Amino acid sequence: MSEFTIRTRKFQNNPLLGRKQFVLDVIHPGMANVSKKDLAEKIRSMYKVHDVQCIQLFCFKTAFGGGRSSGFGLIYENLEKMKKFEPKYRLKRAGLGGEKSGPGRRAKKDTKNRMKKARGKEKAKAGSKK
Amino acid sequence: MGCFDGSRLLDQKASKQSAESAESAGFSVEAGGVIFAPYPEGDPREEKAHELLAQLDFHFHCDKDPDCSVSSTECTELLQALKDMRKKLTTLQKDAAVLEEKCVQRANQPRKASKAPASYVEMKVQLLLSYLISLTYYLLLKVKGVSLRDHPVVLRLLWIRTLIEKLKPVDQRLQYQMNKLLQWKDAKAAEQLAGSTDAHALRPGQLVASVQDEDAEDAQEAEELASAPKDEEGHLGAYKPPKISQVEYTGDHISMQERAEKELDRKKARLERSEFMRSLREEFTDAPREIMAEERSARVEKATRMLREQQEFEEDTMQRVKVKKAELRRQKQALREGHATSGGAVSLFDVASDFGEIMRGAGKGKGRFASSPRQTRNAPPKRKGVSHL
Repeated sequence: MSEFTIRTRKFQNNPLLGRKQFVLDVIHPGMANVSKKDLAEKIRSMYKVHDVQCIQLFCFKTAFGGGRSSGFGLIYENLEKMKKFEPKYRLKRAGLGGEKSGPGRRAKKDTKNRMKKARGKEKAKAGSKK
Repeated sequence: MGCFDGSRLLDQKASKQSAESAESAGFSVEAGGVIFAPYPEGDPREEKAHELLAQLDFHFHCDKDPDCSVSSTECTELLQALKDMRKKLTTLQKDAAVLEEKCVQRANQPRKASKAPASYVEMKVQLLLSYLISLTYYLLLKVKGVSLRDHPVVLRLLWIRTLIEKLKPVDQRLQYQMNKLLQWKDAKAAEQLAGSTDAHALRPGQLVASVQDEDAEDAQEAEELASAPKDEEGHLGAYKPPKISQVEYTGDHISMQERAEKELDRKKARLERSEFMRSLREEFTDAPREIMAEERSARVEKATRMLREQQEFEEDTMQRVKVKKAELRRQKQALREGHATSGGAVSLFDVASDFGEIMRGAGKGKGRFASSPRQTRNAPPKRKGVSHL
């Protein structure tokens, strides 16, 4: 009963962003819906992808009545391209980071306020302090 | 006015002494006669007072009674009194002018009890007059040499002065109105001098916007100006736009009539295309009957088309769109109906719904097929195509 069929439509190669994109149709009679992990495994075997992490699946919607769902999928060439082009929330989902870098918001505001009090060359000093 | 009392002369000595003692105290009634504060040291007016004193001494020196001589304080006081008098006179003049204008106006248009500025101005004029009278009397007494120690004039003067001081803020608030009034009076006077009353000239007191024909312009304008609603001061009341007959806005080049006509044409076309009319027509024509694979209503077709378009868009852009509530309802309806119809058979459902909907749309609230308010209130939330089968 945990069988499902996958079909890809509108397969496209996107060399600019270093990926292949497609629409994924899943037919899973009797099941609620298939988890993205299982789908990624199936796609890896289908397209002979080296790294499972390079496969991204999103926007899945089950059709009315159940048994069918459709969504979108991307297969990146390598992890670097993925880290560069994927939106941060999807990277977080995959566990590949995407956290904010640099000083925090509060720290930035504090430096700015310190610099406001200074004038001229002192500004740089105040800015770099702590 | 004051008779020259001998006893008063004797009193004066005492009063003088007390006056000198009260010099530093300045402004006090008990000192007897000194009601203006002396100038501070080094004031240029002080020198003038000394000069005056010297002159007066020279002219009115009385050897007999040294107490009769004028003191410096009294000189300064005299100067101040004169200045004060002049100031009050000017105020009085202004207020009198305002009052005069108001009286004139009131004569022209008899109205109810006087409102804010008129009564106030009247009162102020009265006050100032009495103050001036008292002041002149006071000065006269001084000149005559009468002792003013316990004279009621002094008290009266002080009392009026305090009243005037109290009125100052009120005066400030009404200042604008009074100035305006004076302006208009001047303008009117100037106009009368000039002679011609040009109907087209701008009159600050009587601004009325009127839209008239060329023929009756002058007569009607004059009439309107006379009958324009005015306040006491000559201000117009709340602005009332001129009454012109309502004309439909034709900026968009589509009048209501055209719109109604277009709507009717559209309804007619829809009726023609509907299932009902088609089957009727079939009955009466000799042309061969066409059997299509699926007989679906136009609405269902449209809904499925929209759904398909939406799906295409989503797959092309690899993103989902938020479907509006009404749109979602229509899609669900389309799906339901799509499943209901089987090949060949046209459900009465569809036919009736088509016709009924068209008619419902045609006559909003009127006609036999229109929904009555009672029906819709008790009925479940309206869904297109639901009939009472």
